[in-house]
Order: sequence, then C-alpha cells, then structure tokens
Amino acid sequence: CTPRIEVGAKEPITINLNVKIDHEIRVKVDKELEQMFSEDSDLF
Amino acid sequence: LDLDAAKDNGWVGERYTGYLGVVKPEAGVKALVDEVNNKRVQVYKKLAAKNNISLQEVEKLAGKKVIEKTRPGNLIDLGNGWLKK
Amino acid sequence: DALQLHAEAQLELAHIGEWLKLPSQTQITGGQLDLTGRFDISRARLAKLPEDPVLASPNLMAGLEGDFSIRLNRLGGKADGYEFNQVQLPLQGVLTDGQWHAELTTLKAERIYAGVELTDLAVDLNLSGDLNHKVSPVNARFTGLSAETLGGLVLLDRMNYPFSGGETSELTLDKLDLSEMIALGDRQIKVTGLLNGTLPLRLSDTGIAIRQGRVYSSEGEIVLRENSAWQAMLQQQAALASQLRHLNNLHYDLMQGDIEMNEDGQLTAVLTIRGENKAESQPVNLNFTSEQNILTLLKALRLSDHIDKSLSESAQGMYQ
Repeated sequence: CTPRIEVGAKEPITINLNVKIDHEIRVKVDKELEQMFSEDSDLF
Repeated sequence: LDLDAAKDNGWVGERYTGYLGVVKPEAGVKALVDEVNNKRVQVYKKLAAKNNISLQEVEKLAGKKVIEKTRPGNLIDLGNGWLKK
Repeated sequence: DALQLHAEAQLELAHIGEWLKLPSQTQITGGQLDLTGRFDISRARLAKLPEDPVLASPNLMAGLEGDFSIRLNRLGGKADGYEFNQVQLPLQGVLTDGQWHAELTTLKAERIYAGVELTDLAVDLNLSGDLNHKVSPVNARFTGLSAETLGGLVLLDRMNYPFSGGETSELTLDKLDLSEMIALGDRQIKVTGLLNGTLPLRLSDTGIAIRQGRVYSSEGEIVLRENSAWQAMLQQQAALASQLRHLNNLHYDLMQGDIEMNEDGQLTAVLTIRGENKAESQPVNLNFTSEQNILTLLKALRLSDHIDKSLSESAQGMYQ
C-alpha cells in the first residue's frame, strides 16, 4: 500500500472582528423618503 | 400628462424597485415615467451618498415607501405582476 | 340599608375612536368589552354626597361595595407601527372602599408585532388598584410570560408594575432561529443555529437593561459569501483577507457569549465562536463583538419592514 502522508491538524487561527451597526440611518432615510414622496411632490 | 391622472387611469403603477412602471403605453405615458424615474434616481443617489449606504439600499426602502403610499385602487407591482391595491 | 346598583354594558371597540379620543397613530380595528357590576352603597353615604357631581363621583366610587366582571375579547389594532391581534383578558374582581382587586387571570394575544413577530403570547396577571389613588391607580404583577418568536420561545419569569427601584426579572431565550434573527438586521448575512440564553433584566421607568446576559448555540454555520459589502472589503484588505476569507463559510460547533444592554437600547454582544472552514479543514477561533441599538433596529423594522410582513403573511391576497 502506498504510504499516506498524514498532515497534522492545522493550527487554529484566531480572528477578532468588531462590528458596529447603525440602524439610525434606516430610520433617517425613511423620514427623508417620506418627505420626498409627500402629497405635493412631482415624484410620487 | 399629470402623474396622478395616469395612476388613477391605471396607465402607470408603483413598483417594489422604487420606480414607476408603465402599465398601458398610452400617449405620453412612457415619457412621463422616464422623466419621473430620472428625477427619482438622482434623489436616491444623493440620499445614498449623504447617508453612505448603497443606492440599492435606498431603492429598497423607497420601494416599500411608494407602495405603502399608493392610494387604494391604484396599481402596484410587488414582484410578480400588476395588482390593484 | 343600602341601595343596589346593577350595571351591564357591551361595547364594540371598533367604533371606540368615534367617542373616545385615541392617541395619534392609534387605531382599534375590532374587539368587544363586556362589563357587569353589582354594587351596594349605603343610604347614609349617599345622603352625605356633595351636590357638585364632580366632587360627588370620587366619593360615590369610594363608597361602593360589590363585585365586577370585565371581559376584553378579540381586541385588534395598530399603534405607532406596533400591531396587536386577538387580545383577550377576562377580569373578575371585588371593589371595597375604592380599592379593587381582580382574581388571578391570563392575558392572551394571538399576535403582537413590534418590528419582530410575537405570536401566542400568554401571561398570568394579578391586577389591583385604588380608584382614588392619583399616582398609580393600577398595580400589576405579571408572571410566567411566554411567546413564540423567531422560530423559538421567549419566556419572562415575572415583572411588577409600577417598577420598584431594583426590579429584576429574567428573560429566557429558547431555541431562537439565528438565521431569522440575523435577517432582521441584514439579509446578506447567513448565520444558522439555535440560540439559547438567559438575560437578567433590570426594569425601571427609564427603560429595560440587560446585565450579564449569557447566550449560546451549540452548532451552526456563518456564511458571508453572498455579502457584497464583505466581499468588497476582502478585496480591498488583501492582508486581512487571508484570514477573514474563512468566514465566507465557517461551520461552528460552539458559540457562546455575554450580552449587555443599557436602558436606551444600546446592546453589546461579545461572542467566542469555535469553528472550522471545512473546505480547507482549517480550525478557526472567532472573537466577535457587535454593538447596535436594538430599540432603533426595532423602530426601523416597524417603519420600513412592514410591507414584507404583510406580504409573507397573506401573499398578494391582501392587496386585491
């Protein structure tokens, strides 16, 4: 049988990930769209 | 051609994409739709840049808004064809 | 001797807006209120009532003795983006000297939408109050709240209202579907697994805080392959990409962490995740910290996500 080369389990790598999510933007954009499409605008 | 009239006659409708769609190509309807959509895309781009989010993100939010604000009886496209709200 | 007062009323709540000023953006779409009461008031007490009805009514109330039944059925409506359907509350109680006390009962709601869907909510309720007590006319003690949400269950052991200073309570998360939870914030991130947790809450008039919450999930996947922002970042940050690319498809066998949230909704999650990029059999230890405002997220969802909600529920039918 052909010798099988057993690769040792790889060293674990460490990943540090910091995420800051700003949901305020969706609320803000929603308000701006609300004005944009208000009754008298020619866009709606 | 007035946008509200075009909507009430069922010639145009709001789409989930955030843009107007032609339902019946009566005279002047296509021109009206292109004109309104061109104005909208400019405003969406400004909004996206100002809030540093993608244009698609703004279009998605706008799509929900225009459908929400469509008057009952007018036409909307939620992704699979025109419907009466 | 005493005068007996027997009251009975049935109200259709759908028209309540016509004769009761509802707060702005509040709409009652349906529901019934059945009221019955049998009260006695001593003639002596009646005789002493002041002429002016405004002064008389509190005195009258204070003098009533008797029992009441108030049944709220199928209440439905909307308020400021929130929605509630099929709310039901049966109340039986007694009134003496202006103090009333209702027997232990159960408040139920088929659906409550607060940006997140809560269904089959039920909570046991002890209600009592004082008709003349201006500050807090009602005292409520909630126990054993449970509701289905995000594919799992949330349970709250107890809560008193009004909140005394250091009111603490414990929120339990039971097998919440992480993919549904993550999709609330961002649809291009896929994280699977069932999240369990215990979140000690501190309730006060300024809001709800989480102190030393613990969450964990025993197994699942983190898939960032379809996230355009993530892929763009990997291209720009070649140095980091060699490591971060493993998160394109990472299988994890342990996720656990601490949750803190203060009264204004700012939530910090510090998670340690042990996983492996199976494609390259590369073990990965991920220390993930995220910070976001949950109240703002829920508000954003109530504002703009509503269309998806009604779409998924009744498809186009609702829009015929």
